[in-house]
Amino acid sequence: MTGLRVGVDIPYLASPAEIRDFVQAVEELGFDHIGFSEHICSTTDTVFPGPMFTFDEPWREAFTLAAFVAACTSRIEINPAMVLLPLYQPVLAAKLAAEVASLSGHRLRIAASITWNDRECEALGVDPRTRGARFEEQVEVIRRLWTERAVDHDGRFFQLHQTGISPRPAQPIPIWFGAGEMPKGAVPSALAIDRAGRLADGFKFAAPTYLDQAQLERSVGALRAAVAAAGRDPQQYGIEVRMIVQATTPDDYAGVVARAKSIGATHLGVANRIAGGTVDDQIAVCARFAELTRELWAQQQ
Amino acid sequence: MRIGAVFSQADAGTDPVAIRQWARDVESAGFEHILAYDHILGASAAKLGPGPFGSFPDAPYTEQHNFHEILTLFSHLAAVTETVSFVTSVLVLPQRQTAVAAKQISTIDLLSGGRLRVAVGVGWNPAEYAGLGVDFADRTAILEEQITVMRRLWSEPLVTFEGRFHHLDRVGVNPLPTRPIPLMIGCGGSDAVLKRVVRCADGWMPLLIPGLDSVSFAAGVKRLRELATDAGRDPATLSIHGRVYLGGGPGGGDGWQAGLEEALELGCSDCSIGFNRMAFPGRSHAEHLDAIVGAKEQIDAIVGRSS
Repeated sequence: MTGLRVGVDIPYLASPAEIRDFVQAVEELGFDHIGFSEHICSTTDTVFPGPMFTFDEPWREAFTLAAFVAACTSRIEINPAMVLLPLYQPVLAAKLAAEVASLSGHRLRIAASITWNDRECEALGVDPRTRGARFEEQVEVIRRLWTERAVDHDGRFFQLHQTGISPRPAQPIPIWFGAGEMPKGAVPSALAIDRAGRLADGFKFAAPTYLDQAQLERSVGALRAAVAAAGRDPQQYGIEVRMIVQATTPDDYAGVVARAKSIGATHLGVANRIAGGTVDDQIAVCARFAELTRELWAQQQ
Repeated sequence: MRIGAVFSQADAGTDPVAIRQWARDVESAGFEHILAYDHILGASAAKLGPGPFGSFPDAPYTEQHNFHEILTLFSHLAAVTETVSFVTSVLVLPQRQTAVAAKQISTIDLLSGGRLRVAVGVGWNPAEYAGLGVDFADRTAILEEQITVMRRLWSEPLVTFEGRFHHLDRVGVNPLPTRPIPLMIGCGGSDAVLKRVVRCADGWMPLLIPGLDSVSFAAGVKRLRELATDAGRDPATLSIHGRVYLGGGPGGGDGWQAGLEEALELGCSDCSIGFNRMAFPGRSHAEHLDAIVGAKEQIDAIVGRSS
């Protein structure tokens, strides 16, 4: 097993100059990936506890922000997470992702989920009751559009006849999944684990799951079993766990890295989005984490 | 009149370094905007069948032609430029989900510091609509409703809307753009479509093919202004975005200087300069730009003479 790939999130920064400063600073600090979430149509209600993740945060459309970040950076992996995939026409999502992958020099890793907000779904013309089935068909259609010149597809939700995107990605674009209901500790359901085992290139756990290591180990075990049951190799499957900066003190940062490695995670994401303060304060939070743990990232387990 | 350069989709290639350099070169040569066409999906020639498609006698593009997705392209190029604006020509809006487009446009507006202008239109390719799950027959009705919904999403924190094609219940694209985003309609010159421009848009981007469209640029502009006056709208509130091609237009003859002078005489707010790729096949994107930049001095002399 190789070392751990460690990344951070783009905080809710209002100005493009702040976004640029932040992403360039964390790339310079040596982080491997940078994540950011999206909403297309926000509503004022939320499933998240507390004052965070509210309507008033400056949400961006994931691929548009990804394209901007790609131009500001040169090395760091770009990880829109979660892409609320059922909200998109799959052909458009395939096209957007292919464009960002190309413009970024193949630094795109998508993490997709089925969304939670029914009103957001309805505003996009999507029936929230069928979003899971729709999501599965989307992933299939998107991967075919990335690899075939002209696609024929006659599915439950989508029909394509001799149509394709050009240019297609020069390399496979990883699609990871994420799932877990926030009021239930963000633990992924059996259905979500089965789906991710069959269809995803990796799984990005929601941030709160690291707070219960025993439960996280059970989820990872179930995920590996689902991957194997689908006839796939669990050793080739990505697993990202996360750490919430305001829920962990710096003296435990090394412990977080060790526990992530102990369950065989390939990636660790620092959930720093709501650390607060100026952009320099936010960079300092990331710098502190890097300073205290960097020498552990690459160490073999 | 603001002068821009046309980003030639089919010739731009896929090297991001070259694409970013192209945009920087356009900006440093003093062009005000970059204009790019939009296609999401191509269909095979067999699927498309024989033309005509709109005013095109044959399908101008198939699934073999490269097209960059323009909204992510513009977001990317906004990060490596400072002053140049971006113009869609046209964003084929009915085949896209309205709120996704509204959100992407507002995101680019904020990331670019207000450097995006959009021209929307209905496109020509039924196969592209089918692939995106939208009924081609409804395209103009969808477009009108979309413009209403987009403008509300750009100006109101929470929108509730019940229409024929849209059902929104207290949703918004927060953060809102900092300014009204200029929205033109790109279309031909029939009365029906010009009336839609007067009714719905901030301006007109004529999509007229010399020799193929029955309406000339000058006649279309004249008619648009008559229709605006008839509808009680000051024609001066309608911007007009023209276009000329170096190296001869599809109608033949290298008359770009005359085309530019006509755009000035007609009171266009903008004119984009393209390079006729059909007349010079095999030229690279950089060579197109060399030709456009090479003509800049002459362009400036023509535009400057009138100001």
